[in-house]
Amino acid sequence: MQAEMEILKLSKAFGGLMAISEFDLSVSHGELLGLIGPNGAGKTTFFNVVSGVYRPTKGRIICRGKDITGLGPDKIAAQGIVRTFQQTLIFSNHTVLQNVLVATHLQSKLVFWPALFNTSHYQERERKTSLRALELLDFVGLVHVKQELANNLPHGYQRVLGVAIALAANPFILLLDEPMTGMNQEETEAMMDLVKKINQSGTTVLIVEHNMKAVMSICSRVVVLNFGQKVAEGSPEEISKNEAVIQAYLGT
Amino acid sequence: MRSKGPIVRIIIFASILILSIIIPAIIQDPYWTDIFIFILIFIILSTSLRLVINTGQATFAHPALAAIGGYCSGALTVILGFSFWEALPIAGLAAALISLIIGYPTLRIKGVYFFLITFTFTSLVGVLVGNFWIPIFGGWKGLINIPRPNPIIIPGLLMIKFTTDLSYYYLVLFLTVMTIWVLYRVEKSRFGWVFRAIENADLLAESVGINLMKYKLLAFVIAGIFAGIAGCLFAHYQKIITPYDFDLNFGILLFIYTVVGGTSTIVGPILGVIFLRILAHPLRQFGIYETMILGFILILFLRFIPGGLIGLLERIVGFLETKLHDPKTGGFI
Repeated sequence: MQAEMEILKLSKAFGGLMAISEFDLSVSHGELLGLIGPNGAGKTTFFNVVSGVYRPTKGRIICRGKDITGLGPDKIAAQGIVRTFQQTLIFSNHTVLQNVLVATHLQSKLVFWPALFNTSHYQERERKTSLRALELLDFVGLVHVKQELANNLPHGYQRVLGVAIALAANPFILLLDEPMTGMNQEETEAMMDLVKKINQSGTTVLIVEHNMKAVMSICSRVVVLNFGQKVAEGSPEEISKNEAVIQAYLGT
Repeated sequence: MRSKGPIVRIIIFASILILSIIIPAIIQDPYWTDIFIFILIFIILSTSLRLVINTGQATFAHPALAAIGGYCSGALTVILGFSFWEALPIAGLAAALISLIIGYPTLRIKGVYFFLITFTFTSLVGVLVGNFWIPIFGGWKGLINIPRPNPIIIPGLLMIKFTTDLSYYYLVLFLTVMTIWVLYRVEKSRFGWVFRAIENADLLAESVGINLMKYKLLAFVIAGIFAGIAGCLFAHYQKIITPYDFDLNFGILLFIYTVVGGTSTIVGPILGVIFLRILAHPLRQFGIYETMILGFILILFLRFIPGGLIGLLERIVGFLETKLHDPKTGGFI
């Protein structure tokens, strides 16, 4: 399998604090990779660096053979790497459908004059975009609340909508930052199924999650971070037996 | 949330349009015509201001952009002998160009810092036109003898003159309707949703590939065009433009109108302008306390009615609708 994304000696420092140091990672096409580690291990910082919110202090990020180090978030999204957020972040004043439509921006370019005059060509394209958005909502299971104001959705649905927004940007690598936070058992299982489904549809998924059971059951490979460094890497079975990992979680 | 169908909306819009055509013609009072013209000019300014506010950028640059439009068109007609019809679009484009130049470095700054920078810009423009290029702009005394638009003549068919205030009112009304139409179309297209999305969660918008700078700049420049046109209409109505016309006070008034009207829909700023401009006339007898009373109204609205007049109206309509549709309370619809 060819590497879809290569992280080479990535470091990010905040003042004197090394949030990530000399981190190497190779992500191959179609895998479902889990990223775990204790609080403050640098997982979210890693996502922020890869998605362009922070510039790396050192190191390079190569995506499909292209160096994307230091690009802005919107440029990185255009390269096909899209992330979700740890906090519940949605366009709360929009309807569910509008949330997704806004996020289709990369696929369906907005042109000013046709939009202003509402030309038939513009209408036709908006209709196609809407159809795609509805398909996506159907895929994640939110089509029945499509006209609902996002702000009024229950927490579990809002988290799913966060994933749908990211998917609308049509990524080939999806970065999920703790998608199951604050969910009950039922919602967690639904989210696990959704993540598996996204992965099976051909999208490479990187997931940061504190729910060990979920990570161990859905991921094909797990990477463990502690103090910004890679502690271990391997299949879920290997990781759960790894001495260094147990030490990182339980302390010495 | 709003259950009103498109037909109801078209009927409301058409009747308001017809009223605004008929009423000034019936009243035929120069005092009221003057009030109506200023209401329309302020509507162009407040609705376009709202477009920028909707991207999350509270701008105070609007008075300066209007001044640029007014001075540009004034100087073109008085000194270079352009006709009003040539100067009007140039005034809009000049304001748009200046918006582009000041927007590019400043729009990445958010919140109160952006407000302060644009505030400074507005005071700066006033000082510049007052103290420099006096042969062109006339210094603090202002640029005088700005002509009314020359008549539109289609030989043998018709001739429209703009010498009376009432005819000028209709010209301003036409441009106001055009402004509202453009801003409404922008808002209802995906552009409008993207603007609102940026205001709502810029981090998320950026993460799905939206270039924040591009869209904020677009909104700022479109609003700049209309601010320039409003300034031009102001100058050619007054026949004079001075640095005092678009000072900080003017900007504060504009802000009060927009916020008191409410920014949730385009009707909000329009309501705000009409309500407060008409209220301003009985308030005028209080002299310098007028601004104080307006400020008090602003605080009142910010504290108790954050949605503004339009928010209040929507709540009342919503309340009535549920009352009328509820069979338990004896609804009759």
